[in-house]
Amino acid sequence: MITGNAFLHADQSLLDSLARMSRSIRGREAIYIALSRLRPRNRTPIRVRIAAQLFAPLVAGYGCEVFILSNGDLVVLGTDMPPSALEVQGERLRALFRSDPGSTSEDSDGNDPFLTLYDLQRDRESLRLKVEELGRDHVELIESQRKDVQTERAKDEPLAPGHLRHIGRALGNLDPQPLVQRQAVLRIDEDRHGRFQYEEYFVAMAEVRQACAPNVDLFANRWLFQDVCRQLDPRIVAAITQLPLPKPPIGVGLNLNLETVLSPAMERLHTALPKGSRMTVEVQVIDAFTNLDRLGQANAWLTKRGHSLVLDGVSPRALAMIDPARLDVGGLKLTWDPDLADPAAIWDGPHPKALIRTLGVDRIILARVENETALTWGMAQGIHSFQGFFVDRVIGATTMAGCPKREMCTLAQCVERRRSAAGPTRGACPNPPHLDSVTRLHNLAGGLGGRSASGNPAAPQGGAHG
Amino acid sequence: MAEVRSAVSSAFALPEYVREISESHQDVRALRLALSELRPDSWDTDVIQALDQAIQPLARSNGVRVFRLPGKDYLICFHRDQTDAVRSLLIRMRLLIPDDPLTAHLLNPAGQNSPLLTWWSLDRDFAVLRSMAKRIEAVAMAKAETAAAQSQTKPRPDYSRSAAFAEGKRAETAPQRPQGIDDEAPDGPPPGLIDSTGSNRPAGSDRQPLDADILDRLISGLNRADLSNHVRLQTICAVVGGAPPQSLYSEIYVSIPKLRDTVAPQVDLTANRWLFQHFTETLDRRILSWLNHEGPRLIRGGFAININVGSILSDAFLRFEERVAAALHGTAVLELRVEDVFADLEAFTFARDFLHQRGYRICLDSLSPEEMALLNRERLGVDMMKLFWRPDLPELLSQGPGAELAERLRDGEGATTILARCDDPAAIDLGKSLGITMFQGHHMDKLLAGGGGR
Repeated sequence: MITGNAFLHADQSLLDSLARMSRSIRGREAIYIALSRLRPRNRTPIRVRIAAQLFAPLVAGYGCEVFILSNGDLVVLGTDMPPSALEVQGERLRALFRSDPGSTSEDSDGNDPFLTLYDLQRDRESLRLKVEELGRDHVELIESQRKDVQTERAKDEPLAPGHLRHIGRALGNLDPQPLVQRQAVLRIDEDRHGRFQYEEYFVAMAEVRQACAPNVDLFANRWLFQDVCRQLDPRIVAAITQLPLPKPPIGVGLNLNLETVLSPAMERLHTALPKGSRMTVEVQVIDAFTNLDRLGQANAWLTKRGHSLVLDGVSPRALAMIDPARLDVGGLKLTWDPDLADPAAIWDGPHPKALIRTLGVDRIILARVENETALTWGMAQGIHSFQGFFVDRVIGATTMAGCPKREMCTLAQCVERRRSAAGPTRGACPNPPHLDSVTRLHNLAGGLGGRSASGNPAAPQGGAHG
Repeated sequence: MAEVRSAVSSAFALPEYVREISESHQDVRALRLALSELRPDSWDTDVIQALDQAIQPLARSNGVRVFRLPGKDYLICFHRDQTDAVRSLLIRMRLLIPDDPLTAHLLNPAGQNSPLLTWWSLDRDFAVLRSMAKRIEAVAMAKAETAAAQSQTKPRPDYSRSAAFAEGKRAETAPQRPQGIDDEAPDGPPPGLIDSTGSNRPAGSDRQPLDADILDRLISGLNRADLSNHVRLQTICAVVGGAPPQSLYSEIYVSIPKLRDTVAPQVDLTANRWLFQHFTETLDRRILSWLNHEGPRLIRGGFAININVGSILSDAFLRFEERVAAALHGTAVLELRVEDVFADLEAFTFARDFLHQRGYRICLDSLSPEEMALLNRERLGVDMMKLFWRPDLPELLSQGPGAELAERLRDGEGATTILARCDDPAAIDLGKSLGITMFQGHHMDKLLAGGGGR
């Protein structure tokens, strides 16, 4: 059992232990686990402690000592251990982090950068040097990070039930219209021509927070955050109906709580949409699974009126666990992850490629398309619908190419103004009638990413707003 | 514990006390203990409970009155003779609150004000206490008025469309999906059955809907409640062929309705799903910390507890885990709710793999047949799924998507499924026909007790 003082923290204690064992070093060994190589999400203090806890059986059974070093790495010291006991436990720990590329067992030099075993009779000095070096490099960094985290924490209170009443009032007084942004979902056909499938309208929660609860960390509590979203929904729905919306065949996309979809406000929104407009409602996975009984109702209600329901924010790893084919939704938004295009990435279960095929490529929108790799990968899988900053940039570049006042703006400005559905950002465009003119993109063949406003962008064509 | 709880009075008792001592407050002192000033991370449930317990003996002695003010503060009124007793309490409290810089003020001499402590001598400052009482009275009035207004005018949510979807016997007006709302069973009723059939109590509409303020008070109440009065055990057993049921392990759970009746009898907990989720998460953590003290004796022979992913990835669980490892000689099952699993699949995957390495089994709890039909146990990497019996289950499993589920169960998934809330011998018959071997519920309790078997 690991007791308080068996969990020795920090480098100096380890160095002291190494120094003390100079006389009795026979049968001593150590394993060094480079947790600091992992992605930030896997190196939080609690995950490091959990990793350490995996050695509990060796602490209880063989009196091993576990050291959590200042950079988050682990060292476990053992004496007269059964052969490979440390190594086996190390491999089990690696398995826990298997989907993290930092846990790889072989780098380009053929070494194992994650786990290192030390026979201390022979290697004590090299372990000592490694730990000493680490102390010099990391202490300052860690301290400064710790201070940053503390200041950040002191600034924002984590969202608690006590905040909700105040936030509810603030949301009631909020005019969300200037905060509304939009982002196009682009449908690219077999001939590589693109057209706007729908414009998603949304409000960035960071901006809502700034306006309604600047000192509260809204994201600190997922359930209460959802309640804030629930309260915000009717305000957004009301704001959307006041905006000039795209005309069919370009649809309207909205992020909503299922409760909102089944509320009277939705009937009003349906009536307020341009005639024949298709609405795509995106719901979060957390909402879908908390309210599975409402999911089917919402889907049925929307489908009956010619709209559709899409499951939002599905990560490729979630895809295998959700088994979306069994879910009562029209489609899903798959979040791009660079691992998708990485042949070395480890997936539990079938590869997302296979799952996408099973599900049907037409039901998938690849979202967070940040670069050309993502788009190319998606197209290679047969996916047709894309959304993300890269898509925004292509649209922006095409918009600028056809704009006589393009010299007055940068691509980033054009993209930002197009994203803004209303309000001052949009007003800064020197040629507002042209800002929404592009709704189709032609010849989206190779070399997409290299094009810019002044280059040779995909040929624009006046769309519904032209 | 009832008399213990009454030792500390609600703030709403302060106006009465002020009237009581309006003529006789010579040498009476008041101390406001502004625990709300402490850093929020000092507010571990263990700490709150420890402080509350520490203050109890003083609150019952020598005319000392302790009031619980909003925001976790206390007001202590006492004769100056009791000053030393109050100071020793403060010193004790300092040891109970971990690592907060403000706690140094607890050692200050009596009468010295600080962010944490404000002292009054009522000979001089009685007006302060009186105006405090007035404010509290005003708040109480406002609350009562709001509650009255709400109960008259607040429309019930419009769930009419849900009725169109809900087939057959599913309730029209109660689409909530909470857990553990039935009086006796360890888990909640299936979705759609809460208010109408899930409980013998009056439907939720008689109660005030859960809102943020009530939730806040509920959680404070939960933190003070003695869980020993609310913890229940129910056995999960194996039934194979004609053999008598064999006990496998016991689920340790808290009866939410009983708890609700203690801390917030007039509240409809299910009126807001998100707030209810937050409440269950708070409850899970509270049970975990309670088990840290009381658990080893209960868990020795194998156990199941309800828990959430966030709590598994916490120091409280690691502490629990150390104790369990020492005490356990049986199956350890952690029951997760599907909505919690899907709230953060990455965190779930990590927690799941950690738990498996430490030898725990994971059970997906409270499933309706509709939900179970959607889920793929193998892909989720969980060990068991808990399906809730309901009287229309045989019918549901005989057609449409239900028939597919039945087929899956017969094809092998039955062996990893627990049929729970078996109140009826028909549940066992159905379970056996589907290849289910694990059962839980009142009927099983009776069979194990040698009572109502067939």
